[in-house]
Amino acid sequence: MASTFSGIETAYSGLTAARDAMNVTGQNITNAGTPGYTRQRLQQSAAIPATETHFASPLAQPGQGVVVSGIQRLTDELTNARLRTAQGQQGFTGMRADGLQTLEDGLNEPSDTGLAAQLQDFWSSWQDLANNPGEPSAGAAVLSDAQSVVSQLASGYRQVATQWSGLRTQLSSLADQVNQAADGIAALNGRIQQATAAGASANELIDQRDQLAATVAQLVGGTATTQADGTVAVFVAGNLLVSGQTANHVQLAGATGLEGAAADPVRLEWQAHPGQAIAVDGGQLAAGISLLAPVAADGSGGALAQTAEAYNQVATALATQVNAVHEGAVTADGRTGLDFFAVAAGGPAALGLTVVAATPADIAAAAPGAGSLDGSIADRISQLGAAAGSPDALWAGLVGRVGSASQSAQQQEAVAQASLTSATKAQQSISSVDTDQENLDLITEQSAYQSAARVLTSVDQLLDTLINHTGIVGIS
Amino acid sequence: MTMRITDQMVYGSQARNLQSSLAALAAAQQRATTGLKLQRPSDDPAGAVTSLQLRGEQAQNDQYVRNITDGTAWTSAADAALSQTSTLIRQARDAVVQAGNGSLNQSALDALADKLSGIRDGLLAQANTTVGGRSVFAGTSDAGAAFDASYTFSGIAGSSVTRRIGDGQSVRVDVDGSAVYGQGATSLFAQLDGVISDLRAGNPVGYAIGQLDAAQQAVGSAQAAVGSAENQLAAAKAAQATAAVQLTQRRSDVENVDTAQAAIDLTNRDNVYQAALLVVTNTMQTNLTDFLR
Repeated sequence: MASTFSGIETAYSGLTAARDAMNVTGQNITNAGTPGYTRQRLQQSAAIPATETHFASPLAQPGQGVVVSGIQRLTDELTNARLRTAQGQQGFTGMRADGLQTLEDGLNEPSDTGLAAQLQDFWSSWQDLANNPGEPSAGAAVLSDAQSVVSQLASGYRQVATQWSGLRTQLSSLADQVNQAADGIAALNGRIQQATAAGASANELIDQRDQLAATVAQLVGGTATTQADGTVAVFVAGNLLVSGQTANHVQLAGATGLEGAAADPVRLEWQAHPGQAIAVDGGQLAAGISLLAPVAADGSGGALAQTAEAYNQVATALATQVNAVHEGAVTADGRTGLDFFAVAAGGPAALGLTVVAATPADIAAAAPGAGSLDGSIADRISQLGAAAGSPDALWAGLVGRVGSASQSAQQQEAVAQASLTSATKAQQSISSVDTDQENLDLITEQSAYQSAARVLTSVDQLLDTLINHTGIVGIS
Repeated sequence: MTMRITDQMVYGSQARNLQSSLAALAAAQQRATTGLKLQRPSDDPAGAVTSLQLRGEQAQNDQYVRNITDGTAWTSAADAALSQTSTLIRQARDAVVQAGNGSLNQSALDALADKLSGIRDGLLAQANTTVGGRSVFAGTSDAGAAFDASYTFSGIAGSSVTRRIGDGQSVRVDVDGSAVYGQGATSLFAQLDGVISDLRAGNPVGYAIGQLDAAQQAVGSAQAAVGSAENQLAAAKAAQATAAVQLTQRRSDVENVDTAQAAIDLTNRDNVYQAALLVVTNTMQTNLTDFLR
């Protein structure tokens, strides 16, 4: 038999539950635009009757109202993991596409001012010299065009070297960001454990932690798994970045300039284990490290180093091929065996290339014994650009390779972007706030509150009848 | 399970769609205003390489045209000099034939000798014709004149002035002066000197007719060679003009947009963007709170 006053308790539980639910709905609505916010819902269940019914009193007993058991976070681990993978992919492809696009813009091809055009001008000036050997102005044109090619090669090379160092600096700061995020996740792991142990809601803390896990995924492609104790463990390339309240820091090591990259490749390593590279396979850092990789003999090295190497190859081919013909020629004053270009030993050829011939008189255009106004050697030099293996062909090959690499990187970025969009949608479909729905919930909760208050009034009136008006029948 | 649609999803995808619409519009504007579809190598890597090759061929073609113009100046000069030479040799032959006519007295022979002396000077002047300061008949020499006062030929045997007029195609634009005029004591000038002194001495000069005929033949074959070079130059010039048009056309195919297509594309993208803006402004206004009282 239920207590006379139990109705008051029932109505009260309804009032508080409705108020709590409205608070949760309010929290959802106010955070509708908060990035990373996961919608919440009040978990409530009907309270069972106060005393067990036993065989002796088979009387029906109503429940004791409503019980609030917690605030649930509406999320799905699998969808979150899928989103993090997509973010890692997007970080990787985006960084790579950006790097390659900067690189190909630096080539300045096809254009009227690029290296291909400069080389063509250079060959044409030799042809003009062949037409007018001994003409100082024709010789001067050859020298000035040669100088343009030399400075274009050097500035192109320096541009790649600058991009390399800039990217290296950027990656260092990305590695610092990984450490900060790892520290944040470790600290939140501790707070979440404490809150859960105290029975408090840790939902907002978990949201923050998920945000940081997403950052780590985007930076180094780290994967996060939730442990039984409520903490998450974050793995990078199979090793723990964060475990419980401990964060293992990473650092970027290796050469700080393009020239040193071959001997000391740029790599990410654990601060606790210097010298051992982490095989990062996703995120912006992996993309950056792949762009900074040293030259490989088969051309599969880092895009920046390969491009710088191509500048060197063009410089070397230009010097070797022109010199080979020029050495067999005679100047107007009878000197022979002269070099036209020189490449300084040691250091990159693109920076060490110089024009040896100082004045038009130092240019040898004539074949030996064919007369001092012969231009046949100048004519032969002018044809070098069209031959197989010419500097022009090497350069065109480089432009084609960088263009293809950039094109495929852009396509991969588009694919990764599409998959990120779809993963984001799936995640938002489950976790983000729909204000229409919250408004409907609010109406439901409001009327639940009003109705519970009505129940209270009814019980109150019932008690009033019982206490004040019972047993006074006939008393006036 | 039907997908639950939330505000962030709606706003997020609207923002993304507006962004991609605007990006497409910007790209179309860029193409339409620059007229280029090849903005950077990754737009079409194979096209970029082709474009570099075509630009190279165009530059080479321009150079060939310059070479042809320069070569034509040489052959015209050589041609004119040879025609003049031929005329002068005919006049000399006429004079020699006239001298063989036994009725002339010494003063008439002296007058013929004077005339021949003038012809010899004229021939020497023709033989020393220059183009831009360089001798047409001794092209690779820097002596300034093909023949000096003692008729020594300054040209270098076996060397020639050539102009490159096409891929692997060169044409000789000078003439070997020693083949036309001979050199030293056996040169045409020395032979005329012999005839002049014989005339002044009253000796018979009939032997000179054979010499002059041989010289005329040498001039004729040199003229044939120069004529053939001129033909080659003219043919090459026509070929390069055609090639220039083709190269421009091919480069345009690789690098440039079809203007009409670009304009249609631009209008299309613009419409899509405006429609997207309109849809967004309409849908973003409505919400359940608008209808709750």
